[in-house]
Amino acid sequence: MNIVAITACTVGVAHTYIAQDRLIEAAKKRGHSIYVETQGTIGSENVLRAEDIKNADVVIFAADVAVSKEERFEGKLIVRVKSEVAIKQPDKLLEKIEQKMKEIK
Amino acid sequence: MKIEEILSMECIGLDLDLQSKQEVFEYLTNLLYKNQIITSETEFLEAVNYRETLSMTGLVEGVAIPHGESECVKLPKVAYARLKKPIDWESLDDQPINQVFLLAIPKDNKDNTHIKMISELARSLMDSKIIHELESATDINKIIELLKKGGKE
Repeated sequence: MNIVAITACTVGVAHTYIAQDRLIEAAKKRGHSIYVETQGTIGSENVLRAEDIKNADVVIFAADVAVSKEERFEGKLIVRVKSEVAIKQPDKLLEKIEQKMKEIK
Repeated sequence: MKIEEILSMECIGLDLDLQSKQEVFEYLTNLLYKNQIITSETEFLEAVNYRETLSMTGLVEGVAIPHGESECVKLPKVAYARLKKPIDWESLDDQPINQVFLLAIPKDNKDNTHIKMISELARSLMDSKIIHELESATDINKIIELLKKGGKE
């Protein structure tokens, strides 16, 4: 799968970045391509390119606050979870998404 | 990374006999206050406790990273406590906590360099190796050395 994700937490200094690490680690392990944009207190980093969003099969918002510029993902399949879910069980999260994708297809 | 810029020796307490989350918060907040990182203990404690209500700050293997974002914080800094005995604390792996990094974040985050350092530090704290080395470090200098290494990508 091609995945793009946004991570964001309330204060935006710690969980945002841990969630990013955990998602990348799990996605790579499961053989997916992933790009993760972090929306922290210092602003957005690794901002997703329009092309990556276009090619994405699924969008993950691992966010405890509103995602900025959500309109970029109009028409895409979006999975919304708390940052904690991405940190605690990134594998399980991806597994669930994989299953859902199969059902849709 | 120059970890000393966000974690000074004066804001570290080792093998403390503290019994609860609140005692840890009070101890570390006092360190930050004495070292002029924050201007009000009451306000900072309120911010830390508010953040606790939003979602869990315990990570894995006994490490927690509570944080307070407040106007009373003058500089982005971290205070660290290592406890004698683990205490109850909601965490990702449901383990009690014996190492606490309290993050002090100013309200108007203009100091991105230091905020980034704090983020790097937080990320490195998911690493089992660092966690165990911190647990067995015999003095504050060793702790600083370990975190210097850990923060490097």
